Amino acid sequence: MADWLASPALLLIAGSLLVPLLRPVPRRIYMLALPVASLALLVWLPDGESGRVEIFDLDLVTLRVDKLSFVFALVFLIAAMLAVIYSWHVRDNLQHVAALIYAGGGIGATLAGDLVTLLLYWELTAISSAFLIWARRTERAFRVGLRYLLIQVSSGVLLLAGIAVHYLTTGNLSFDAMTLAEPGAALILVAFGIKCAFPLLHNWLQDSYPEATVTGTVVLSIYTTKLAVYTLARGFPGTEQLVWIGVAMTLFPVIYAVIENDLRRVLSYSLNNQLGFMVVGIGIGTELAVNGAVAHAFAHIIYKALLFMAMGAVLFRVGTIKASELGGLYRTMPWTTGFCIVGSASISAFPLLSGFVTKSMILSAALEDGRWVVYVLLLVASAAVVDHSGIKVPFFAFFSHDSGKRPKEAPANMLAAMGLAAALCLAIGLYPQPLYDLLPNAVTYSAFTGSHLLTQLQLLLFAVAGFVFLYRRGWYPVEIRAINLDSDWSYRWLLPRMWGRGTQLATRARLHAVPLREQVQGGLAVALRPLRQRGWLGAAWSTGAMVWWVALLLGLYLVLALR
Amino acid sequence: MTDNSRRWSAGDRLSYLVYAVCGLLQVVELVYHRHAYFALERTFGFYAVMGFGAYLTVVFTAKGLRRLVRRSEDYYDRPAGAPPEWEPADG
Repeated sequence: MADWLASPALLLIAGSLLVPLLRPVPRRIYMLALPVASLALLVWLPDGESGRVEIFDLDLVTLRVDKLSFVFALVFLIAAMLAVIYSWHVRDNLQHVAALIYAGGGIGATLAGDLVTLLLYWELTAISSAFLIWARRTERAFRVGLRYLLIQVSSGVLLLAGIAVHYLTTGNLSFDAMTLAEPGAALILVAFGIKCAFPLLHNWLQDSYPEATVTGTVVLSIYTTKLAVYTLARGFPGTEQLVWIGVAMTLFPVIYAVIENDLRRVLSYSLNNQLGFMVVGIGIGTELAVNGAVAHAFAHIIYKALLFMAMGAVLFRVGTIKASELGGLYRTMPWTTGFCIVGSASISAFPLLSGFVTKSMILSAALEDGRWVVYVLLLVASAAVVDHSGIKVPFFAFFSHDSGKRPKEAPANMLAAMGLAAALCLAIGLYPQPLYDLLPNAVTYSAFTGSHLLTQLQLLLFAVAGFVFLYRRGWYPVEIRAINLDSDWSYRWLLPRMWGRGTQLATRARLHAVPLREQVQGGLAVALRPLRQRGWLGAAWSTGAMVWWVALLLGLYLVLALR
Repeated sequence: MTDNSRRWSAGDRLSYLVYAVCGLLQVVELVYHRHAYFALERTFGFYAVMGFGAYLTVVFTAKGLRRLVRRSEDYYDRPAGAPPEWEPADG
């Protein structure tokens, strides 16, 4: 059976290789047709496991379609279509091919039914995505890409080690829910945690995403981290540790987001914060909570791509994305401004937009599970989202003080992609039932209750009032040209300097060792003098002396033998 | 300059609108009995205090953090021991 060939992932990956052969106009149509065809194939695939392959006595299940994998593969393909439209104007084929292979890798990993297939696609996403950073073709992007790849591959190595331990002890390769006590599970969780940007394992994200190309960042924001959310939802639902890891993730990136100047980096911190909500949902592990995590991932992919698209359009037209250099762009980029505000309101979870109907499931699940400390902390994080993604990004780019810059409106294809994404945000927010029907667990949930609408509006508008209050008083942190140290300081500053200091010390030790070495060598020369050719032992001896020595040895032997 | 002053008054109007909507929401809370899960949440104005308080806490924490972690933009790029291109001003 060769049914493993009928894979939506392989279709994208193999299909991408033809992209460079086509002329610009057919290339655009072809690149959009690829994810559409892949989506048709995904819908056509039967439920359950298929695509079995046997390699080296390992029985691999390359295709597993169930509700959980279907909904992630679906949103990955929708996002791929949006990203293709957004990058239609790009002439650089490297980016097109890398983006399609990366998307294919993400979908392949989502559909993987066993751990080895998962590992192969996991590594493919790491390698292909690095090219989206390198495609910027600057010295800086090259170094960032290397750092990014190093950390992504480390995640793959940990995953490989975890799978090896797991397989050798249990003899089972299928990728299903596991507990931390199982052999190898902890290694696998850390591997997922790196890609999911757990606290202190997170900084590759904020380091690399803002340094990719205009379109590359949009593509990057879709797959790697949400693939990790999928693997956590599949492998570790209900793992208590994830609740607190998730809470930390929602809180501490928002503080950095407030003082960050690069607006695409602000969005990267905010992405990290949104992942936190999903990780909390997976950690709580009730049916509603897991549904909430999955639904939030779905909505998040679209509004976060929309926000990165809007900031990408600004970078494309203005040439910088630093808040300190921007402001007042709404005059000449009104459509981009409008779409960005839709994305901002969605991520802030304003009622009638997508974030509201999905994030509230996670918060409700926390309440129903009696975790009110978690609930209160998530409220704090939700109020903070209003600041960095809801207000800061659109306000400092498009309004605020006038920078005097009058860029052209974004190209038509960018506007089309942003418009479609904004329409999806509205559609999900107004009519969430089709999304709820796709979720893995059958739970009836309604976000639109009177209490919920009232409390959410109070939370959000009082946070907005907080901004208005601080800004008018002049207490809001000003945007300045500076960077902020984060955990990447440990490997970008501390480790290189420790290495430099270590080699310096070693060199100094060598210099101090020179006189000592000369003394030792002198002593050895004296001690070895008898052994030289003309030395005492090396010289020619008379036969008599030799006979004496032989007699002495034999005598000694006799004495020892008699004992 | 007329353009500038008109924009400021628009900002004023927007600010007062936000404050007014906040006030209105609190009036609604007075008359509408909302569903609550735990005692603290039941108190009047819980979500208003959470929204405003959490927002201010996060921003002031961030201002404090900035004192610790702010560096010049070429921090990672300049060779060891070289002086920074410029020192960020206080703000």
